[in-house]
Amino acid sequence: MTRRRSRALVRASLWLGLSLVVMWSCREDVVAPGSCPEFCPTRLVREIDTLFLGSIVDDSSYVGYVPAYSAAFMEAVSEGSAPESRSLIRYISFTKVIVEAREILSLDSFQLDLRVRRVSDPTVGLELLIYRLPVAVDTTTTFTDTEPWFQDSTLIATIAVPDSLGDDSTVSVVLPLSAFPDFVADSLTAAVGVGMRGVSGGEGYAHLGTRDGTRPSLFSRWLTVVDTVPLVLDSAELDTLDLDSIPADSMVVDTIQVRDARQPDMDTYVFVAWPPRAAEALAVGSAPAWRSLLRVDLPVYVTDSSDISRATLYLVPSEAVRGAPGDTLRLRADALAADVGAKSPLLAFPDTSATGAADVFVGSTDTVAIEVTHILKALRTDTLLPASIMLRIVPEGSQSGQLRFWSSRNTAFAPSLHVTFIPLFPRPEPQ
Amino acid sequence: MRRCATLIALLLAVAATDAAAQVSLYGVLGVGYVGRPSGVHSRSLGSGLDATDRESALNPAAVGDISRLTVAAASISSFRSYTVRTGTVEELRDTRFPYALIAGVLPGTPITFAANYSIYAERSFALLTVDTLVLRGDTVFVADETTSIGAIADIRGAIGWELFSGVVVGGAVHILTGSTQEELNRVYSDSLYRPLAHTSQVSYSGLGFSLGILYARSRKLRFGVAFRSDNSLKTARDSIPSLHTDLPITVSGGMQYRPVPRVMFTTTVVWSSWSDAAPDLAAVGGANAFDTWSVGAGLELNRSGKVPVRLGFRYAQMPFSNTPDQPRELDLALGVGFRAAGGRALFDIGLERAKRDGGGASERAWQLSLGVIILP
Repeated sequence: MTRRRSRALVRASLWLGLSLVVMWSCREDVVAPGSCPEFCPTRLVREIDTLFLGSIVDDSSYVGYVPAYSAAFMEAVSEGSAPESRSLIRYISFTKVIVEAREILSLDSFQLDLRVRRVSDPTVGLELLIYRLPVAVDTTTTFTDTEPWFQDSTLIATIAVPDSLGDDSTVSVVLPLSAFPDFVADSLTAAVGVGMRGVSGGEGYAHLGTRDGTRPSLFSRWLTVVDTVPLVLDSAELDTLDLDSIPADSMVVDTIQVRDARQPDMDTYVFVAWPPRAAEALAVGSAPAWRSLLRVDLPVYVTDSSDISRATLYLVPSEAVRGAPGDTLRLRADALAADVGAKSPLLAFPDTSATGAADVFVGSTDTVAIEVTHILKALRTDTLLPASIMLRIVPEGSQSGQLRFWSSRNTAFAPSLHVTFIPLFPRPEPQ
Repeated sequence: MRRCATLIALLLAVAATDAAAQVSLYGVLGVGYVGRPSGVHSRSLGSGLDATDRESALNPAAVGDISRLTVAAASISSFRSYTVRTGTVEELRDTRFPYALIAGVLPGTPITFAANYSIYAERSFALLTVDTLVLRGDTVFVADETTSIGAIADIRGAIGWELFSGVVVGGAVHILTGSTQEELNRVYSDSLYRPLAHTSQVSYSGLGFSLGILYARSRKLRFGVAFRSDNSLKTARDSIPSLHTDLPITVSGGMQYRPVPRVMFTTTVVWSSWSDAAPDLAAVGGANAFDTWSVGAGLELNRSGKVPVRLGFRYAQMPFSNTPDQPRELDLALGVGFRAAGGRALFDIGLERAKRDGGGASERAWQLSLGVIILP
């Protein structure tokens, strides 16, 4: 019996040991460094780098996407620049009611808070000029219309742009009552214009926040109001309060200054329209915003049968990039959900970092290179996507600047694609 | 019987994890690492039993030894290390399921049949490589992870017939089939280059036949000879035909000698004309292909009559290399076998030490084989 037991124990131990070995060995650990060229399965992977001339066809430019009054920012460009831009802001009318249930004793002053998104180099000596505008100013106002309003006689404040002014800052100025002599007559509405001037002949620009962006410029009135009410009155009598009828010794009266701020109900900017572009040129940017639609005509073996690792679109400017002196335009390339011409819906990529963009400097005539890898890669994975690229300046309509480049009709300087790709076939099956 | 079921379940569990295995670094080359048509019993004898073994897929005439319905399967776990020019890699391990068999006798006839599954060539590997490319005038570092999972399987249907007393002839049809899931992931040091990810399904197909004779001169001495011819291996990537590779003719012969009932000596010699594949591989810039010889020999001692102990030795040339140096393999094997469930279940355990050298690498592996044969 004991012998049988010990045999069974040995047998069970053997099975257990064997099972443990098998289970331990079940773990897979197979990833290992290769050694090229002896043991290098990818040695047949060919990375091809080619410039495809004539790969952009049927390109066109369209205008009217984002007008200046709907842009996320507006522009003020110094006097004498080409072009000079002026910002126009009209504010929501103030009301006559008591501020926070307190009676207004007096209107003291106004305050303008300009939200500056970006400003050109402030060290050149720049000034923001604040003009009083008629409240009739609206979105149809042109640069020529504003000429009578941007005069010394309507200049109500001058703000020296501090050297330390950074991006996304606020510049405030307090304006006397005399700045708006017709304020009450204008039904408590005010409008201002913002221009820019270089103190010693310098040129510059400022981008200001708008109501369509996240940080509009605010207009405020400073008021003196009653701060304390009669002690003898109960709350029900406050509505019919007549200060003159109450004896002076039965109330404690004090006054404070309060601020009543308003957002714009219209803000826009105006500039002298650019001269027409060359016949074979396309345009992006300015306001109302221009876009350019480029259709890609790459060989099928690139779009369908290759994996694209990098694709760059080259654009040759037809003239120096127009815009505010020292300004930069951000050119962006988007894929389209459908190609229906001017109204083609842009395709939103979930990965925003994958979106191609390039900075273009005003005055530059250099070839513009913009990465469009994400667009061409998407063509292979989604065959329903149109092989088209929409170019635009972002944020749209916020800058007068415009990039003009040669279209495919100019065979010498047509847009072209530089593509780095790996053909999917052949691959290293039996090597 | 319950223990038998437990082991079968264990084997099936192991089988479920196969496929992703990297059997050998040499699987990267040519059509892959060429498999052995051996069961665990023969592997423990250095594949010396293959020419006369009813459980091996080498000689179809050996099927004539089958006397009743037989089901067999095996798993192999390997623990490897290798050294290449760039350094040594250790602690690689994998498990696969390279062999299965069902065989029996056609009722009312003297004809026996067998259907085998074995690995013709293993193409599972996962390699990391780093390289530099000059793109657009700049040097860009790239890191590639190349993964291939799968194998080319050899499905054999064989029949055997005892022509005369002691002479069995056999024939078989071999269907080569299988696929590999291949992935290439490339990342660049320059973020302007987007990472690449290629995934494709590569399928393989081919056809072959084999003929064999088994001659039993006496109860002590048996000889086996086989001839096999495979046509070409057709490769299709994502269903698009891409390549034909000529496959070899294989000639094999061996003997089994039992000087006394409890001692068996076996040997098998195999020659394959793998150089037939050379022109096709060269056309795609592939590896060199060489004809191969392999010699296996083994000794089985069954002193107790219950638990045979096996020793084996095998030397084999490998067919593919990216250098003029033809790689070779040396195996030393040790194994045991025992019966369970009243003789209705046979278990084989083998342990091999494999040394593979040549072609720019040196590989060492321990291989643990587990096999079960069920006689219902």
